[in-house]
Parts: sequence; C-alpha cells; structure tokens
Amino acid sequence: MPWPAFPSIALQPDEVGRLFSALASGRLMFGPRPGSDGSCRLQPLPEIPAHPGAAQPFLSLKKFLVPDGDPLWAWTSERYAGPPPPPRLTVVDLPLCDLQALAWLDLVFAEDPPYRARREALLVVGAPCQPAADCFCDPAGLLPGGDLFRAGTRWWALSPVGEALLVRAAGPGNLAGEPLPGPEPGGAVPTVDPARFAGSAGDPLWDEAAARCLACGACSAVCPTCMCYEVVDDPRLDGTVTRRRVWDNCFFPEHARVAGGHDFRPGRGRRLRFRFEHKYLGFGPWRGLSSCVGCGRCRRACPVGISLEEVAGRLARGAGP
Amino acid sequence: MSLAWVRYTSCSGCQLMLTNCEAQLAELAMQVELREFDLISSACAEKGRVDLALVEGSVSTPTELDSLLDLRARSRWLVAIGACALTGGINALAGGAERPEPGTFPPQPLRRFVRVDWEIPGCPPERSELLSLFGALRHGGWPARLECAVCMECRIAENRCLLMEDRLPCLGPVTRAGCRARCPGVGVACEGCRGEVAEAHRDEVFRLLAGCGLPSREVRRRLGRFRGNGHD
Ligand code: SF4
Ligand code: SF4
Ligand code: SF4
Ligand code: SF4
Repeated sequence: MPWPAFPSIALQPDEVGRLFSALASGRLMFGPRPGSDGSCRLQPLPEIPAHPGAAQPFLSLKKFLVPDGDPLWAWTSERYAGPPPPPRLTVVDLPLCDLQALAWLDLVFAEDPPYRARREALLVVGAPCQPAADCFCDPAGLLPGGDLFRAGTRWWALSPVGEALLVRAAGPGNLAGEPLPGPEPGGAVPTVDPARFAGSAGDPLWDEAAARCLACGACSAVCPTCMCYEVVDDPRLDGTVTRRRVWDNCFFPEHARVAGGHDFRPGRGRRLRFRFEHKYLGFGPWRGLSSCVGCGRCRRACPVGISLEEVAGRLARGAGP
Repeated sequence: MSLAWVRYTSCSGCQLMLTNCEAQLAELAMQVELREFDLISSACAEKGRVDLALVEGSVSTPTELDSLLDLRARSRWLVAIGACALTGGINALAGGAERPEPGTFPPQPLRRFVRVDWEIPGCPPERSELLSLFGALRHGGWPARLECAVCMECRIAENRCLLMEDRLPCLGPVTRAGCRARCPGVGVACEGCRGEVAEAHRDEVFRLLAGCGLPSREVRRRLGRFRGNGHD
C-alpha cells in the first residue's frame, strides 16, 4: 500500500534558497542527530541541512509540544499570568511515524490552548527514513501531520501553512498531487478485534504478559502518542505559584487511584491492558482509531523486553486455557 | 513559621543542601523564624514549641531517641529529611556486621519511633525539594509529588540506558524519582539513594541485576542499601 498523496513540486535551487530562509527566519532549528553516546535526539541545528536525512529521535515532537513541567499559568503578586510565548521552532528530517504521531497529538490536543500555541509556533518538515528492523509504520494509518516533506529536490505540502510556504517560494499553480515516498514497512501495526478484547478482561494473558513488567513507565514515556499528564502546583517561597503539566503514565500506582484510596486498575496486568486498549482501540471520540504508529520505541525502551505487538498476537490467536 | 532543624546520626549533608541555596536564603530568613539550627546559628532560642521540625539522620543512641520523642511532642509538623532519617541510610550500611559501639544501637529510621508528617528522600536531598517544602507550607499544603521510578525521569532526559546498553547494575527501575535521574545523567548507575518505589518488582530487578554479572549476595546488598532494615 502506497503512502498518501499530497500537493507536491520539484524546486529549483533558488526556490529552495527562498524556502530555507522562510523556514529559518526568526526560528530555532532542530533535527534528529546522533549524540556522542550513539543515541539520536532532536538537537539544535546551525542551519537546515542541504540534503534530507530522516532519523527517529529518542523522544518525538511531544517533548516540544507537551514538554514535561510545562507552565500553564503563574500566580504572581496578586495576578495571574499565562505562560510565556512559546519558542518559534522549525524541526526538520522527521520520519513518517513521527509525522503520524504529530497528527494524533494535533487531534487530541485540538482544544488545548497551550498546545495550540506551541503547535502554531512550530514548522515540521519530514523526510523519508531508513526503517529499522524493529519498526513497522503503516501507510494506511493516520494521515501524516506536519507542514512539509522533502526528498531530493521534491517537496510536499502537508498542511495549508506548508502549501503557502511552497507557493511563496515557487509561485502559485505548480503543485500536483504525488504520493509521499515513504519506506516499505517491515511489518504492520496490529489490528485488534474489539469484541475479543472486551471479552479478555478476566484472561490470565494480561498478568502473564505483565509478569516481568517493572512499571518503570519507559514505554509510555518514549511513545510519541502517549500523552497522559498530571497537573501540579509548584508553590515558591516568595509566594508565586506556577501550575505545571508533568508527564504522567498509566503504569504508575497513582494513575487510577482516586480520593479515598480506591484504585481502578490495581496491578501491572490491568495497567498493561489499559495501555494496550488505549494504543490499539482508542478512547472516547477516538474509539476505533489506533494511535500506534509502529515506531518501535516502546519495545526498544523496555528493560524486560515486553512488546505490545506480541501481546496483540497472543490475543488474536486466542489466549487463555 | 518557627523552624527547628535537628540532626541525629548523619553527616550534615542534608543541612548543607539547604544552606547551599544561597539565592533563596534571604527569602527563607524572612519566611521562617529560626529556633534551632546549629549549622546556621549558635544563638538559638529555648527548645519550645515549633511549627516545623526538620529532622536529619537516623536514631542510634538512647539520647537521640529521647530528643526525637521530645521534638515530636513539641512540633506541629515533623519532616524526615534524607536517606538516613528515612531508612537508616548510610549509617545502617554496616548492617549489624560489627558489634555496635557501646551506648549505641543499630541506626533506625525516624518513623520507627514517631509519626512522620512528610518525607524528603535522597542522599543528599534535592535542593528544589527542600525549597518546595517551604513554598508549599506557606500556601498551606504539602508539595506535589509524582510517585514513579527514576527511569521515567531518565527517559524524559533522553539518557542512554546504562542497564540495557552497558549492563551496569542501575537501580533506576525501583528507585523513587525526583532527582531528574541525576546519576545516570552523568553515566553513573543509580545507587537507589531516594529509596524504593511503591509496588517495586523486586524479583524482576533482582534478575536484571544478576544479569549484569553481579553475584546474588551483591545484588541483595545493593537492593537493600536504601530500603531500610526491615523494621517498617
Ligand atoms: S505503542 Fe510503541 S510502537 Fe506504537 S507508537 Fe507507541 S512507542 Fe511506537
Ligand atoms: S517499559 Fe516495559 S517494564 Fe517498563 S512499564 Fe513499560 S512494559 Fe513495563
Ligand atoms: S539508566 Fe537506569 S534509571 Fe536510566 S532508564 Fe536505564 S535503568 Fe532506568
Ligand atoms: S540517580 Fe539514584 S543514586 Fe543518583 S541521586 Fe537519583 S536516586 Fe540517588
């Protein structure tokens, strides 16, 4: 299955020059770059690299869009103040899985003002990647988010903002629909039968899958579409209070504990099942929409090698005695 | 708010963390009334009632125990500060291997003897946590705290995982977060100084540490170091 088509154009060098200055002007630039320890992270770039080269960073765009500890408001000397204006960023060379994850964040945070402000100050440029042996992005999954995509001299507009940038660089009227040159996926994001899932609540499958789980939360911390947060107040000695959003995680003992001490999801098995449900089946208005983009981060980050795809396989094969 | 900082068997490192907050000391001095705090002032008032007692160190002599009981009786809130006060900490590492000094007993955590209203873990504790205690009390509550493991903060910091990649015996998966993964952030395996997380999966971490090439006895010692001595 091919990747979806978007308005596209091959740019001349002078047009690329104009586009690069539009992407760079008044903005900090970031891209995935390997650090000295071999781990790839979104790092500041002095300029936009002339040649596209996507790589999957350790943490996705969520570290910019929903940063851990993000101030929501502050109360200072009898006055509330909103958060400071977000930095204007251009992030280049993101792989397609991270663009799909961005589409998901855009969806769930559509009515979240701090997210919207950060998103509107961000330009995202994707590029084709070399898939790793353990990732399995899905062209039929979420429509890639972001603003632009580039491969060789060809550019694609993924958003109205991206299209306006291309038109400004190359003149109107020359864009034509063209599929994104995405990778051949090495696998597929599992599809989960909701009925089978619903009937599995009492199945030992979950406890068995979670038997080794440390509840460390690494899988969800690195997942580009996990977006649970807790809101905490940070009161200072001088009387100011900052309300912050900090990353939370469905593996933590407090996540489903309510006043009075009742825990709606005691035990690691129940919590693993909850994360599984959220990833593959979705909640609320997004029920039926899988938010797993197949990036493989969770499996790679798990110290004990738990893999949701394997759990999905067991569920599909029919678990239990 | 009247304040007593009292130290039992400990190294004074916890107090130093607070006195090292130079930028905030002036503000702190305006907010609290110092009653007892040896490291800061020798001109302390009589040992009367205080709002807040911050207690550093473990209890290892009958004199310390009497003092702790007395302190509890005359303070509104008593907060245990640092690994020694929470679990016995460094002092408890001798672990009964040797005979105690005459007139002492094996170091005990505070909550073995008195009600503890709040705990600030760490060896030493984070300055930010000490300061947020004063900030929160000023507004009439306790600081917010997310109960999770050091690994979470380590992943947020995008550190290389020492346990998975280098097979170093990192205690991050079972250690309470709050230090922003201070040690793995500089390439040193977590020693677990902030104590054990709730619902720690001890068996699995035992297996992981043994997989790093540590003999079982060493794994047990490592895991037990900041877990307390089994009295709680
Ligand atoms: S569940 Fe795992 S593979 Fe799927 S998007 Fe999240 S981190 Fe990637
Ligand atoms: S990374 Fe693995 S061990 Fe940690 S919470 Fe996720 S499944 Fe459990
Ligand atoms: S280095 Fe240690 S604290 Fe960091 S993720 Fe690995 S096990 Fe956890
Ligand atoms: S990483 Fe571990 S040993 Fe280091 S300060 Fe944090 S809890 Fe203590």
